[in-house]
Amino acid sequence: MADRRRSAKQGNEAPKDPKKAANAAFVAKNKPELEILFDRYRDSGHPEADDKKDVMQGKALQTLVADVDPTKGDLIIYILAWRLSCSHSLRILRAEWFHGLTQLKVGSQAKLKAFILSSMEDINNNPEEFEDFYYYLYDFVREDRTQLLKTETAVQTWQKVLRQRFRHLDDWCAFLQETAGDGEDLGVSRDVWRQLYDFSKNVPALDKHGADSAYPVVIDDFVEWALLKQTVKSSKP
Amino acid sequence: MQHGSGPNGEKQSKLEKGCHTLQKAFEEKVVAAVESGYRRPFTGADHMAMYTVVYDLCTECNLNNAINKAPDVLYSTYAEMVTKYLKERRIESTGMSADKLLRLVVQRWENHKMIVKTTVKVFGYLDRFHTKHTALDTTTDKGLKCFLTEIYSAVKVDLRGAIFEHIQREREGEVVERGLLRQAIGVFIDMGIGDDCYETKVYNVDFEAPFLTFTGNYYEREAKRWMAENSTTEYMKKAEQRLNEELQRAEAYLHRNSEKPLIRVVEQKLLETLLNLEETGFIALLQDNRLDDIARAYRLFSRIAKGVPPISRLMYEYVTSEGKQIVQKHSSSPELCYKAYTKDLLDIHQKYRSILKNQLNDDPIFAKSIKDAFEAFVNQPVQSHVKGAPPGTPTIKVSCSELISNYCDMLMKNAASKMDDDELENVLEQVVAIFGYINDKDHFQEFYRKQLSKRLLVSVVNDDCERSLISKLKMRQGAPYTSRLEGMLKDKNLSADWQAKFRNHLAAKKMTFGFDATMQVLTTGCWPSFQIFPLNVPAQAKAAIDEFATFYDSETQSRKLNWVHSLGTVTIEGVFNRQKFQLQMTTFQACVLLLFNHKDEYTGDELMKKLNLPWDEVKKALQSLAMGKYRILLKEVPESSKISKSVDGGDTFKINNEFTDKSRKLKIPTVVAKANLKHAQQVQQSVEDDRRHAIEACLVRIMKSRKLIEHPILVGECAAQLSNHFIADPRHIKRRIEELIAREYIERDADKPSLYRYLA
Repeated sequence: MADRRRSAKQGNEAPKDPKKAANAAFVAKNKPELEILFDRYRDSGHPEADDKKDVMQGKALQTLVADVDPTKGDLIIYILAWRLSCSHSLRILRAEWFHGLTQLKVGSQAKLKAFILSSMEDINNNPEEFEDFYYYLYDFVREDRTQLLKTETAVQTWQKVLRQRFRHLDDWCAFLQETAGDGEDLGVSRDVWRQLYDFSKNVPALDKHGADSAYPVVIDDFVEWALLKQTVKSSKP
Repeated sequence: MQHGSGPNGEKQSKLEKGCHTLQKAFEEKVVAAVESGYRRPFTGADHMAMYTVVYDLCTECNLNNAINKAPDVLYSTYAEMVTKYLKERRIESTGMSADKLLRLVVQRWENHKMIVKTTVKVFGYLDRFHTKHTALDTTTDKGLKCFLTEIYSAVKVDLRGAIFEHIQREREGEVVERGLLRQAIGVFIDMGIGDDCYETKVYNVDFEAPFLTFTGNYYEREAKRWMAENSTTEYMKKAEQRLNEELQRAEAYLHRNSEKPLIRVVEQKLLETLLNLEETGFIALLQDNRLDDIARAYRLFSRIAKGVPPISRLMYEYVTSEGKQIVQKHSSSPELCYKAYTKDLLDIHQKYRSILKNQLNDDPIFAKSIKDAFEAFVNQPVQSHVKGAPPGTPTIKVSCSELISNYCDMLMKNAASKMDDDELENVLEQVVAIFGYINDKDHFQEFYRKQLSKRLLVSVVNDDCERSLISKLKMRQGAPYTSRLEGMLKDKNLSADWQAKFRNHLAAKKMTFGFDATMQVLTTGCWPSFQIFPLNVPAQAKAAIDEFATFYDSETQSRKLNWVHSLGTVTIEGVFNRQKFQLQMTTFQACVLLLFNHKDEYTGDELMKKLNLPWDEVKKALQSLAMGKYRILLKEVPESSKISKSVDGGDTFKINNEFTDKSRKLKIPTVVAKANLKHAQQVQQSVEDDRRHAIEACLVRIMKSRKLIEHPILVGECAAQLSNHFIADPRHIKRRIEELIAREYIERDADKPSLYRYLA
């Protein structure tokens, strides 16, 4: 637990309306704490250069995870990033941190933890929330936003996020790894990312999937592959 | 005539008396006359006597306006008379021979008709007022109906049986008296008293229906017998014969209404059983090419409602298998000859076209099954061994597009000299017909285009032949398909014009280059893409090239010329040992040689640098010059490396001064690398690319017009629109859709992922 240290910083702008007033008040009260939190996490990531002072990434994020709930792993980061609407992959900027947490009225570490855990509950119970979260993830985990999401990264993310929701998750990941091994890694497009979720929701049994479906070709290929595997398995004594 | 309103008794007795008179007259005069065949005539006086009685009775004045009962009474008297007459002449039909019964009934009926006719004249007055104003039958009808009730009803079953017996005998081959039958059946028809001329109620119920059943049973038995005893062809012959017979029979003595139902029954019994057993019969006919039997089978089956589809299906299967055999035959032959393959295709096409026309009457169902069959096997690729490859290498698949395009190539090159116009036209027609069956028509276009470009640039071309074939393709596929081909022909002609203009230009400028330079201008879009090499051209040629470029620029606007040196040919005059030779070769080879004007020796690498060409091209040129038929160059291998059959960068080359040959004009052959396999693959590749674009363009077009569309409909529409050019794989279409989503031309609907929306 960190020591609380009060500083003399005040809110920056004069409030213009009640909401901003509330925000300002909140900021005034909690900014120091948030600042401290941010710095602490950032430092634990050992940023090398000065220009990385305002960015939380890498190990920093891991520390945050450890603080909140080590059992949930990267999911914590994803949820936080989603809620803060982080716009850069795999990192949280100081501005986003402040702005987002202020909006959400999260002022302390305890509140942060509570908030993240309740968000997790939220997405588990509310399919719309989960969809929003899931769609967001595509960009967040995509390191190079000029290209398609790398298959490897996608597989890892899916393992974390679709664990309970997609029956054929393991088969799917195995399939991707098998076929990615053949040629160049084409990557996973946004369409495939999204449609996979739809697929996991609407197509419980593989043989219900029609050949003329609107799902991307790679999903069709997967179904074919999986069905073939099933028949091979069942024909073996 | 007695007036006076006497008591009724008197009148009645007058009426009674009158009736009695009539009765007597009827029996003595009318009946006797008819039955004696008018040997005892029924004279005018007899007639008048009876008529007067009737007339007087009917017109008697009623002074007290009582209703005149006379007509009623007369009417019933008449009926009674006739009935009595008939009752006395009943026919005991049981046990009577068929022949006798027929004659008897016919005779009775004829007599009766006469009697009624005569009597009606007597009682005619009744018809004027009495029967008209009451609901009674006319006297004629009444009289005839008496026959129905008295004689006909009793006799009809036996009569019918008698007729059937006669018909049976005729069917078995005996000759029977058709006139008699006609009359007998006429009785049934006539019994429909009061019917209008289209209705035959009594006939239908009493004769026609049982007759049809009788016929049906007969032919059912016959069919079984024939089936057991005869082959299918014999059966068909018999069936056809019988059908004709029955038709004649109907004409001869049945009512015209019966013709259709009768034929229907016979067809049903004879032919529908045939349908079930038809499995192999028809195929055997096709195998043996028995044209008459095929025609007969078609005639018979086309009579039954669902007769044609099953045998057209058999036709489809047979033609497909025959076609597949052809493909098989060529697959297993050691060397694939496109000529033989195409010839076989043309032959089989001709064969079935003629059968369709002559034996099958151009029936559309058959036309379709033949077309489907052709499409099935024409599109099967032929397995072929790569030329010169060691045995055991996997075969490659050669598509029919390539083979047919090769055949066309051959035709175009050789045709003019070997065939006359009509023959050529004929062959072209057939080739285009086969082309129509190809699924991947864009493949064919690619092959054909490449070959056409070679023909136009390198060999001599028969303009008429080319145009003829192109116009046929145009008619079949539409203008866009052949636009590029026509463009190529146009370019060739235009180039000739340019050439002439250029020469005039040079003459005007009094410029010469020391050699005759011919340029051909090709429009990029029409011609297949050629590789452009930045060749370092020797100085003399460069001058000519630059001059032409400026000239062309001056004559046209905003056009860029790219020089394709890989296609050029050069004739070089070489002096070897004071012997002059004229050598014809490609531009690359010429450039290599001309370099030796400046230096005696070069290594391969040096040459490559000087020419600014990739090593492959240089190697090809050097191989042909140093190691081909005519050794213009000498090759020296550096000591370190082994002696190899090919050319290396380190090898040194110099002119072979000892070169000599019998002839003074030589053509240096070029090294043709494994053209075939790579060539086909290249075509495949370019067609794939074109298809990708075509699919995307089509998808965008559809989306633009529909805005919102479901996935299966989109795929279906796209495939349908492209079907004329090639068969699009739904997976490819799907991939293109994903591409378009990624490029944000279309998006999926938020709620329904299978719905696509067009993004403007």
